[in-house]
Amino acid sequence: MTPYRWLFDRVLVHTDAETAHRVAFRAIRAARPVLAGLDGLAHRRLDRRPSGEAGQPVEAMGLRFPGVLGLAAGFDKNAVGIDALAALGFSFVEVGTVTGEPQPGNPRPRLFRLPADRAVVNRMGFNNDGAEVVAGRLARRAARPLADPSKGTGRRVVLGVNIGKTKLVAEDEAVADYEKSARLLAPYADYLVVNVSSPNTPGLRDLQAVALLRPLLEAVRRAADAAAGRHVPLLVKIAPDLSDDDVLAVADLAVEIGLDGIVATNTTVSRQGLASPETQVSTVGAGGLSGAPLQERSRDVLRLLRERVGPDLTIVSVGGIETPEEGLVRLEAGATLLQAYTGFVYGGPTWPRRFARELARLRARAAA
Amino acid sequence: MTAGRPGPVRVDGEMLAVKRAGGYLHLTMVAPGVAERFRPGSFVALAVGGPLSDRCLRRGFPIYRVRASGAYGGTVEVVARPAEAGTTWLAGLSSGSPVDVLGPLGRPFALPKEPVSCALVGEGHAAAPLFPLAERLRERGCTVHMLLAGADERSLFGTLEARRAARTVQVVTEDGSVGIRGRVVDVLPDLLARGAADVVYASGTFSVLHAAARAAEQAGAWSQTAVPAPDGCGTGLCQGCVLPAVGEDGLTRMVRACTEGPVFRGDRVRWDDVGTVPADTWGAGPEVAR
Amino acid sequence: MTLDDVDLSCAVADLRMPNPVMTAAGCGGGRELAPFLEVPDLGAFVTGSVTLDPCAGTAGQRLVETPSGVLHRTGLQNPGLQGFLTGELPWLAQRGARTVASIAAGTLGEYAELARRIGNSPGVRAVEVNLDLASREAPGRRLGEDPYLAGKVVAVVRREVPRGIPVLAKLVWQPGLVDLARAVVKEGADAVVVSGQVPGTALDRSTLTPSVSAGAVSGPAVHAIAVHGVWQVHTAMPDVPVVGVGGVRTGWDALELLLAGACAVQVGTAALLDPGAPARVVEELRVELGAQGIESVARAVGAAHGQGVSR
Repeated sequence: MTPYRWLFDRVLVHTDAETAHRVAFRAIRAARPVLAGLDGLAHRRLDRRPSGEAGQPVEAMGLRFPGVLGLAAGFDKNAVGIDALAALGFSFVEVGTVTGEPQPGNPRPRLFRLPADRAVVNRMGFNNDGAEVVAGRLARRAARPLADPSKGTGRRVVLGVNIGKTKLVAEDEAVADYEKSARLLAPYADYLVVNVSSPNTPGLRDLQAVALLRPLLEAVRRAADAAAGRHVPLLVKIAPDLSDDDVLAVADLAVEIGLDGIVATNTTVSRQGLASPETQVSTVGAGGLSGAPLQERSRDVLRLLRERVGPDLTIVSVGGIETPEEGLVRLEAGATLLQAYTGFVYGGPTWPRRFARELARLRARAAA
Repeated sequence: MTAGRPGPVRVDGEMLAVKRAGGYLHLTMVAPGVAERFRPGSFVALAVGGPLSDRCLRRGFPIYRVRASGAYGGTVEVVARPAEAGTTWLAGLSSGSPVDVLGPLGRPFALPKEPVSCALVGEGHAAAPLFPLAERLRERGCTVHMLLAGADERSLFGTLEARRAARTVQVVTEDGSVGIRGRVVDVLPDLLARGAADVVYASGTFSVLHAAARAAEQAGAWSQTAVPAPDGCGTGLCQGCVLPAVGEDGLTRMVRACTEGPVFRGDRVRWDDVGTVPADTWGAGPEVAR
Repeated sequence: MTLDDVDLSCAVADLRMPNPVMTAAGCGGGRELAPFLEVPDLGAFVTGSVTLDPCAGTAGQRLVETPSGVLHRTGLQNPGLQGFLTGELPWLAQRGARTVASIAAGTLGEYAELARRIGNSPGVRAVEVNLDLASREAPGRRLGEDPYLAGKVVAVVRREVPRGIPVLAKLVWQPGLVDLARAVVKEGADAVVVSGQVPGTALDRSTLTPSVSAGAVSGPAVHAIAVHGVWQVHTAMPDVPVVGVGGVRTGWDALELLLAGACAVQVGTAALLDPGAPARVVEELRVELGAQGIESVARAVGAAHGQGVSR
């Protein structure tokens, strides 16, 4: 009888966990489709899936969103809670804003509630771990295709990554800073958003001027697509404080350069028409205001954009969406997708699911 | 793939198809990452009951086949017999349903380095993992003989496929409805004598594995036995699937079928003592806990 | 409130952790979970209970699924003190895991030796005393059901374990829970681990005899028992750190225990189905706190008592 050792290949069982991890990472990245990819088998399979509690799936930018409601950028700046947020009922989660370099943001306190207005004022100032660290976190997530079995849909969440400019980077080096983030983060992003509309980074909003915006978006797109080895849907996020003419100029640019979509709108620097006492508002001080007071302007910008860009471009409407009724208004005004932040802050962890369910019912009634 | 066994993954897979295969069900699932790591003998553990399930343990199935194909990652196939609520639930899934897959788990079959003669013994649907094994063996130039056993015709699995997979195929049923009437223990020694097998690979119930291990020993062959894929966690946490096995140091230990198995050397398992903790086991004694 | 403002850091006596999610004793030795999570990312890793001598565990069936739970009786299979110190602990220490060593014995002498050897081993950050055992010195009595015996065990363990290494006394919910908790704290326990686990027996449908007898039921079925027990102990001794364990599957389950008064939680049975569960609970807890507008674990602990949570 041949000795066992000579006859058989050695079976290694206790692979070092780290090695296993690395192997797992490579294999998953190789095997893992862009989860929401539309082409081929997955598309047909998904089509047979009954529309779930997230409501009707949405196809946009070559991606499939399980429902219309997403979480706006700013809540999960460092990509630490994507799947848990999805588990609360968000169909897509936009992490960030991430900047090229890590930065601490402004001193605390930097986030304030104005409950009388169902509003929030923030002057966070892009506090985040920086593109490199966030990319590492997303890579680890990609390597571990985990989801909670009790949440079924966990892994189908669409991941957006919102990128902005590092505060200390000079304006003439802004493009390189955005490019760095795009290069590092695009491989893990289902879509990418260029944030040029936060009021809390000096000079950032100037980048909305078409003359500056065009080269920026084109550079980001090149960097993102090259790094990811595929086309990464690219959107721009704009401020509600732009004049109507400036909004239209961005719309024209988007169409001209073949952008995939526009996220409208960011927070406002305006403090008009607030119910909160003047003293409270002035104590809070500078920052971007979000929530219900933003509702009207956000709606107007949406209508302006949709009318200008035609039916095909993706518009993500955000700003003052807290009730499902408002959600329906936005969809009817031409929004492809919806995002919320302040509504979630006030509504708590059960809000996304309630909103999605109720909105689905309103839509069914409206369609009937 | 680097050397060694890469770790298992947990994926939100999708049921592609549930088909009848004789008295069994043949489940095909999309499970990216599992197929790429598969080696014959490893198994998957499936969660059952869906999103609101109150079922806290997984169900283990030896892997029948994988296809590491397409842009969506590979598919994994298993053969099941719906015997309890969990497997019945799996069997009732429609195509496209989400299914939570953990795998590939466990120690696979060891493969001979030389082009030797191998006898593969499978009982019922436990024969499933022998088919990918046969393929690997043939790639290595081994001669493959198969013995498929079951209580009756309906409980046999893979008799047609076996003709392609093996040079010779023998079928044995307890009621004699197909092939030879009898059990593995009745025909295997003869088969080994004629085929002069160097290695016996077996998958089935403990009694069949015991018979295979003993026959191999008597014929001077090595045996690789795959115990039933355990239900539970599949990862070694729950310690629910232990059996007594003798280590290289001659000491008996309680080893986990999910991590130290499910494939064991047939000459290492203390078949007569499965289900017990033999008195000479390392650490045997009065139970501490209760 | 954003997720980055959520402060998950916490402490169980001198055991400082980046987040309050620990494994429950019995989730292997660390290697089993490693393919699915980073063990050092957990608040702490609690080892399977270590006995002085190797222990082969229970014969026969050890595990059966029950409605929303698992009935188990493994008999504390473990490699023994020597096996733990040479095999499992170095692996955990090398990876920087915060290791809480669970110890189990039948006599005070054994507890003392385990406590001395383990408490002085580099890499061990705390000792958890498993009291869910029969006493060999007081036949017919169980350590964890008798305030005198439980207190004695804790006293000898506390004496042997160096200062700065907290001793956690693990108790299973029972009518006398609060008295037991008082007894172990009086004898030096730095924290009390309150488990919702309950005894159970299941019969086999074909043999009509027990499949698992006199085991323990854990899992979601007992979560509310754990919340209740944590609530009771926190009410009786608001200054004593309590760790809650029982049926934690989600971030909300963890927060529930924190609000009831636990300063940390343990995840056990959920890891059998989902080996990534302990890490997932960390992430979900962060999101749950963020979405609730609660900025730190410290603010959540015990907040359900009295005034409610300050946001």
